[in-house]
Amino acid sequence: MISRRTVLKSGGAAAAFAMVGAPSILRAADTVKVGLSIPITGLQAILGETLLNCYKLAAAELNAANGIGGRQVELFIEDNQTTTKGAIDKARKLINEDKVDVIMGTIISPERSATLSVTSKAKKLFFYPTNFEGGECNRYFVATGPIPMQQVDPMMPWVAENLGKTIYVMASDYAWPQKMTEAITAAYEKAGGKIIGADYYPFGTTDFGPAFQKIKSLKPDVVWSMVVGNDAVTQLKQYRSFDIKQPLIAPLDEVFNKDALPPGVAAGTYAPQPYWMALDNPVNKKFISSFREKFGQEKMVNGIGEAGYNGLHLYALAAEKAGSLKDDDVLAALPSIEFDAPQGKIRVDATNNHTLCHSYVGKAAADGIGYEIARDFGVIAPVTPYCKL
Amino acid sequence: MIAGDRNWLLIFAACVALATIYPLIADGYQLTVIRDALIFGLFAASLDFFWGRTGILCFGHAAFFGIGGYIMALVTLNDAIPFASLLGIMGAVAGAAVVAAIIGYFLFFGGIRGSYFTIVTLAMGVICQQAAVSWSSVTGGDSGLIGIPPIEFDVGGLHVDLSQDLPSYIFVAAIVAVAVLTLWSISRGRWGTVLTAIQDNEVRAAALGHNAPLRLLVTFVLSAAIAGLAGALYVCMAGLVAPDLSGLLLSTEVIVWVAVGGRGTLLGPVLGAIFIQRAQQTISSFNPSLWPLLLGCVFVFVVIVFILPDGILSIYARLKVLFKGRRRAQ
Repeated sequence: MISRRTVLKSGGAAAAFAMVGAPSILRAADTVKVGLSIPITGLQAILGETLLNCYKLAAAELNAANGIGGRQVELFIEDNQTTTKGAIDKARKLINEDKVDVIMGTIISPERSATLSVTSKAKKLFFYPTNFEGGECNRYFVATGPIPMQQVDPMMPWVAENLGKTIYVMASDYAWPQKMTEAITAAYEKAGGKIIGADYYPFGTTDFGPAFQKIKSLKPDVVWSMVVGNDAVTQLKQYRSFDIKQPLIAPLDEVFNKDALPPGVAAGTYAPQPYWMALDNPVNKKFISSFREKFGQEKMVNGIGEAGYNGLHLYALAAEKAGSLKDDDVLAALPSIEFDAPQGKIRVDATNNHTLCHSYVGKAAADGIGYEIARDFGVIAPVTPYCKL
Repeated sequence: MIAGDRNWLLIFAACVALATIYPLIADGYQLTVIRDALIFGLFAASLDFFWGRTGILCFGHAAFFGIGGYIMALVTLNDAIPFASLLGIMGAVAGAAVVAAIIGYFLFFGGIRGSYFTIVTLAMGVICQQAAVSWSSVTGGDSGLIGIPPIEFDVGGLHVDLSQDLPSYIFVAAIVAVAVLTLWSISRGRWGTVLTAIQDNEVRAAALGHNAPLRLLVTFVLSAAIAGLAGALYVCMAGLVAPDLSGLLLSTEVIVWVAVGGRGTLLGPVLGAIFIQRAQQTISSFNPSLWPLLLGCVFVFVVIVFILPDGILSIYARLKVLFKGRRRAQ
């Protein structure tokens, strides 16, 4: 792809300058090859574009400074077409043909497990940016997004206190909502709340009416939606047309709200995320302004994109500290790295290679796109009883 | 017919020869690429065996591919089962065949043909994918089942281990060659001739004493069994199985492979599958958004040129016939 070259070029001048005083791990001619497996086409194309742009931004920033230990970052961008087969083929190509030093990217679980099935065999580092259901435990797998307990455990006492003691769950029928509901139930009961109903819908559901009828008669304090993708668009429209008064918690973000939802539909909904554009700190301000300068002033960025951006920076810092690009050396250095991310300072837990992320509840603004921070829970460590590396 | 057979065998022999010398010029990675493409080629041939011979389109063929894949995964991931690879393959083939037999029985003996059959099988594929996503305690949900071991078995004192690139390539290429040759010899003989008769006029074929629904059913089951075999092979090579391997997208892709490769030729779909997948991965590497556009154009072109036998010009003649028929009916 052309963009690969653009990235190189944009850092070219700085690179020429940087090479003069470069430290010892670099052999100037070599680049650090970062393989990206992104859903550029297919179901996740909207989120994929933002994620890709975040990687490009991180690479451009690194290249404008000293690269990674003096070496330029070269992105190998591949479209996994949001399919299992595509993700397998592209991961193999990146490792065997392009000989990349690390693989990053993918959004939904089939992309992740397909990529992981290739990277784990090849013992190649794989950085995954999306919030996911957890359950992965692999030495070469690094998650920079949160697992359910990181989002839910700190949030439930807050929900019980501020929104109410009963929740009705509506969710798409797949692994992430199932695991989230487990985590929500456990943490909510501890906080004195109760799940009074849960509906799971197959993908492609067009009528959420029956659930809204039930909600009208059961009168829960809160509705928690984990309906995703196109179905979320349908569900939110119906939520509005049924005129449900209860507060809605929905897994939305700035990019989805702007590019997939009708204007204003998401207004007033709550969501747990490790990152919001509204975060008021200088690192985030700079992150957003450079993102918009590069990709367009109207563009939004979200938690998945930010976690991708963080992943590349964490890798760069770890590789520099290790003085090597060997997977095992980078891994050994990784837990000792701290990165000042747009969400705040983050680091990777050595026992499971998951990231200690921030946890925020956001409340969607009246325009239904942006969020204000309703509550900041600080940094939450990932606890994985199933994984001890 | 004789000349046609000779040509087919010549092309088949040429393909086998190519597949034989390919390992000499390709590295391990390129072998795995062609190996996987061959597996999908086998899958395409299985659809062509049914669609090409009966004229009835199955729009959910990936369901059988997925069923085979999931059975293989569940068998080989269970440590308690001995001879897991062989049993898994047999289970995959049998499982796909049984599902096809049940669904096919009600459809064929219920007189469902043509586009109604296509629609029902379309729904079948969608149901399969949704079941794989929702039934997460068994199927692993949308992330699928990971860590499926490579095929490994003993046959007559010979230990076959397909964890390496070259042996797995040889194994797959041999299976595809044998399967395509077998399907071809079935479909060119009496069996195929009767299927052609049924396709031309089922009532007349039945009047001549042929049990049309049974013939269609057996053909469908055989086709599904081969699709199940392809699914089982693929998940072992990939190391995982996921819901979209039984889904609508793959069902659509396989139809394109068959249509582009040449319906009813068995060998064409294999080549079509290899060619299109290679083109897809190569083109999407330098411009991801170009591929869907290009594929659409190729498909439309192929349909116009090959499925309307006289090309674009025949559209006018067809419309004329259609309107004439209407006037007469009034």
